[in-house]
Amino acid sequence: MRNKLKRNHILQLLLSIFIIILLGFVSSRLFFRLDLTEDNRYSIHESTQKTLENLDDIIFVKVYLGGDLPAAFKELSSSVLEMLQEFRAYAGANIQYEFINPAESEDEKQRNDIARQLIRKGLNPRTIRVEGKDGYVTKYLFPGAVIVYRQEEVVLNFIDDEAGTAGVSLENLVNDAQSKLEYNFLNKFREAVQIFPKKVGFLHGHGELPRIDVLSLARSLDEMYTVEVIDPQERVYALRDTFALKFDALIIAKPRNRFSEKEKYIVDQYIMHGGRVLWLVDYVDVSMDSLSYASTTNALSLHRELNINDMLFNYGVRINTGIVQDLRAAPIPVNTGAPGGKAQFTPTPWVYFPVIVPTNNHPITKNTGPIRTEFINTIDLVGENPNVKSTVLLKTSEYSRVVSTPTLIDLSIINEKPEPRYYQAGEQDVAVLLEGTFPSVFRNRLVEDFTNMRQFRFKEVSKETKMIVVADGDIAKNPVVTREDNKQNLPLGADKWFEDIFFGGNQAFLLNAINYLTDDNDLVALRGRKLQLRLLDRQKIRENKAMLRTLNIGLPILIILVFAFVFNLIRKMKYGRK
Amino acid sequence: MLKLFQKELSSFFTTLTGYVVVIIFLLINSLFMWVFPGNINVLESGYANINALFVMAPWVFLFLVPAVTMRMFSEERKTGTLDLLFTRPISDLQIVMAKFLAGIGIVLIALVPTLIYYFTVWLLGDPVGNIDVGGTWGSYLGLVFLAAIYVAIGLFASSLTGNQIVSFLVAVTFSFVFYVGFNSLAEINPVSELSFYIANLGIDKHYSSISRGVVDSRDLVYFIAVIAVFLLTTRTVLQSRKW
Repeated sequence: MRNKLKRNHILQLLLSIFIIILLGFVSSRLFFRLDLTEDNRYSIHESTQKTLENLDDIIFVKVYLGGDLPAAFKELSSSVLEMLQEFRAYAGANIQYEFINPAESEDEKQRNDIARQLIRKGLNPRTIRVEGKDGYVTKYLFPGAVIVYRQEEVVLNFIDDEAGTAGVSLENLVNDAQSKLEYNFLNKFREAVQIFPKKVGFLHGHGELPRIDVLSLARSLDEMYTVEVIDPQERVYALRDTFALKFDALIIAKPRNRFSEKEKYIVDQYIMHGGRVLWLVDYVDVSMDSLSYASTTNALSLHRELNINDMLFNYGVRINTGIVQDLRAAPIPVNTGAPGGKAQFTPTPWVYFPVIVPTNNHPITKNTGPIRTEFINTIDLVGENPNVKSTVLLKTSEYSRVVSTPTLIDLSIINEKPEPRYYQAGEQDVAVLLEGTFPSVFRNRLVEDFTNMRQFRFKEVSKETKMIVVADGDIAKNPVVTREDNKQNLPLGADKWFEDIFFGGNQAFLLNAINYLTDDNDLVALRGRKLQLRLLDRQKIRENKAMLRTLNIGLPILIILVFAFVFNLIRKMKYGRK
Repeated sequence: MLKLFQKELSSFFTTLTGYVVVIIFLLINSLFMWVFPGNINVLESGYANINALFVMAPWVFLFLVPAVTMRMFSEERKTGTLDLLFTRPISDLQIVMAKFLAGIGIVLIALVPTLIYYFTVWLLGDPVGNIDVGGTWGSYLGLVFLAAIYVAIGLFASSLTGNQIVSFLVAVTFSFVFYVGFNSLAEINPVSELSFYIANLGIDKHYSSISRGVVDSRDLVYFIAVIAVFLLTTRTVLQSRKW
């Protein structure tokens, strides 16, 4: 009898465990994933789904992450595989892939040949040292893929091989690559599939940033658009034909010289016919270079010089001449070496270089990361035109103030401890998005003979269009270094002096802005999925450190003690009454 | 069963041990998160999250949960009240469940004050509120599941013996093996297929996914399955008195 009971009990247990294991196997096939993160960083975006569903031919993806890999790359490889599997759920057989191990061959010569071929194609090799049987071996890995669509071949590097990644740990790089995976794939798919890419122009002819200063941005744009430099030279049809626009979007990056009335007319009519413009305009004329030999320099205002204030005012914004100082600022090098000793440069925040951390949830600024600016002006919204919807995109931190120009920029203030009480001006608007129908700045200003001439097609009110105005031109400027007498550009957001300082927001914000202006909203949404930087307010921490500690140690324990007190009180009341 | 659950929970908080365990839990977490220098110090890291809690808590729970559960069966077995319990008109499974839920209750009571950390970071965020709310709740969910496994293991260990010390040590060892042991085992030969399955047996793999804020049904099934296996085994151990 007892033995039978024992047998029954143990059988029962084994049976239940068996069922549980069975359920486990079933659940490993039939599963769902619920992404609780606010930015849904672990799920596929609907714009990707749409692109995949609309494919009309096979995209073949060759991933060079096959074979034995170190842990971090294995992680990346499995993410790529998961992503491609997910893609297939939407694209069906139109997505095909293969994982290739480029170092598969036993023959060293053949291995090297393959490696050389891949590098020529544009894949970035990464060197790693692995412990082998006889000491360390150097291995080359190719964390990238080649995407083939019809005759088109596009190369995708999962990990950016640029200066911005120097000093970043491999795990972080891989982590970053994983979060950018979907965007990268979508972007490259579109590049491969697109036959007539849209056109973006950099306006020149008014002292705008030279080519080398915007090279980093232009290269990134080039992956999505045809990018051209356009100097109108007062030709009426520089930006549009009689019937169509020549550019889908126009970038005006930090003009320094006067816009003639004719040039203004060209840009204005471009907008009136539906053109999109990204204005990166500040009125501050200051030479940082002169600070390297003198301790002060002058900041002048170009506001009259440029002659576009009336234009912007007419569209609904005014760029003010005051310069923002902000406690949340990008660093410049300051010599902290002992006097007479070797110079030693330490990054020190420079209040004239505010760092903007976008906070609103507009797709353009979502998750872009911090943006570095230099001598930024403020923006006011003016006119309250009911046909124009305006959105403030960027604001400075609340610890800011505005100094009016002309003013003296004194380098010595960098050594003073910033006094928060002087920086109480609150958040300053520095970038706005305007959408709607704009009035022409030349309305009622031209003679009727001209406006009535059919071939000029003068428009008084614009078509539905949009523009973005940023009160800083340097936001698009990448650092340039001179190496062996050659000028080289660093990536936008990198720091000329400190390798480990990188502001990813500049590039992301500008690409988003252009994508948004050209109605490529799906790219905007996807780029926004980069891991959001969530930082603490250091100012507050510094001020309240002791209080924070006491509170966080004391309060939880206090809660428990109060709980204990109440609990025992209730017990006493309950049993005391008896 | 509800009565038994209440009794278990309140018996825990009528003695000093209950408070000592919870306060030690909070103290260790607070000190590591806010005072001691190191890379899990929230103020030093500068990042607006409380991931430090979800790294620390599994380790602190590793010792404190067994300290809570060790007496649940052992003490009753020693003092003889266990036999008294069996005479009640409730099934063995109900007894196990009541004690299990009481253990979860204590874990929850210990976790509620940690919301202070959350609100602190929420307030300190630049800007205020710059913390991943959904992700944080996902992490809390994961932590509760992890603690639930510890409780189930602890109950099992407690049911084995009348000696609380033995029960405590068995529980810590088992919990440790489940938390990181399988993972370390898998790392011996990371490329083999077998390692993948071994790592999947461990808590860490599932916990790390859910504490990112991604609730995968497979992870939930894992947690519930491990809990169920230990609770059912515990019941069988209790049943063995009739053998």
